Amino acid sequence: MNVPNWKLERYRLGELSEADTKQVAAALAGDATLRERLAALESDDVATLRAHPASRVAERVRLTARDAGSLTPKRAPWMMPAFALAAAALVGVVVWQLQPPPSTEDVVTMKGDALRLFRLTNSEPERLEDGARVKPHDVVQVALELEGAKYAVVVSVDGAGGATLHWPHGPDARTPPNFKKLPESFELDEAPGFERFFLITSNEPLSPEQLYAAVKQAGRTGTLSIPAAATQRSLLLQKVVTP
Amino acid sequence: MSVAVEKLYERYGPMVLRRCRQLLRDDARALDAMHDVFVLVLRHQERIDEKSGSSFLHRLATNVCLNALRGSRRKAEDSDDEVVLAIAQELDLEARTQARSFLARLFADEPETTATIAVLHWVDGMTWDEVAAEMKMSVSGVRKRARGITERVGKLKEMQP
Repeated sequence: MNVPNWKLERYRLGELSEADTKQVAAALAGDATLRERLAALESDDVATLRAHPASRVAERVRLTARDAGSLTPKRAPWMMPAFALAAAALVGVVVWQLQPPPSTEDVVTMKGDALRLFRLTNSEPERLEDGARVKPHDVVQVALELEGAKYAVVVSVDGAGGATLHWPHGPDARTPPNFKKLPESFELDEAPGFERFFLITSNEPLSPEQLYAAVKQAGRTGTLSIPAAATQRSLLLQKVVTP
Repeated sequence: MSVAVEKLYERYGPMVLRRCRQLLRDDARALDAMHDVFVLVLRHQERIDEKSGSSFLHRLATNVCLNALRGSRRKAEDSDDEVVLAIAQELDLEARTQARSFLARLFADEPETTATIAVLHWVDGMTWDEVAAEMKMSVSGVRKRARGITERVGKLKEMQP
């Protein structure tokens, strides 16, 4: 009997009907592979709860829910949940200059490592210097100039306090050979005020998750806490929303 | 009465994260999506049934991920992923007008909920009866919709080279 993942998940949780529960139990009794799949779910549960403890997740969820429509995945507007889009639409016709941007000091301690931003247009890409003015829906490409850094993390934070992890796409922050730009560009959303980008580099492994949290915090305080062996560079884009 | 997010997360969080990883194929995005699912849980707490929370969260995670995949230009990793990406693309109105893929044409005239139904059936392997139960729709309603899809599947298959 082929037991799909969703049914196995619910069997574990005790949320299947009696008939389905008996069916899955019978299948488990005679199928070692299925038992392995079940054991893998149990292991993954433990690993997930260890890596992302309930208290930390709950805190982030509550903070996000309180934050007026600001949700974390804002790589592009279409990637935001529907209610976040609705909230963004409400602010889309206002010029936002109410919230002062954080400090924009450019911290460069690893010689040669650099963060570059470009606005993609129909013609040539336009270099965006620190403090450049951008609009919602501008498409931005992050480029990097690395000299030997084995690990890199790119995160941005906006005026609504939402952070986006641009690189890496998983827990491993190792830099691939000839790493000169992020694999994908992204479209700015309608979060007001600013978008501040950080490049953190190191020859020691970096934790994207910790740096994501640090950058989110830095959006509010202007100071980014990073590991001692790491270096950072930041660029600020001023977001202007016009009617 | 507020939802005890910690308790819900401890029970369902790993399942939701696995679901998000399955659909998004990206750990960081899956983690973001998982958080968003629980934000939505806070906003729809009245719809949480303690005896079938997994069904609600599975559906919610599917919707969040399909939204997250709108406009995605990444390459499909396998046939299931190809189906998911095509369905997500169909949710993007702009993409809809230019839809050329088999699934995009298939869903051109379907309501948005059909996208979720399609994932449940074609990716998760649920029977139509199971999909009906999952979507809290009548079996006859889902079967009626499924009939329409099936008719167009046949026509589209005939159109394919």
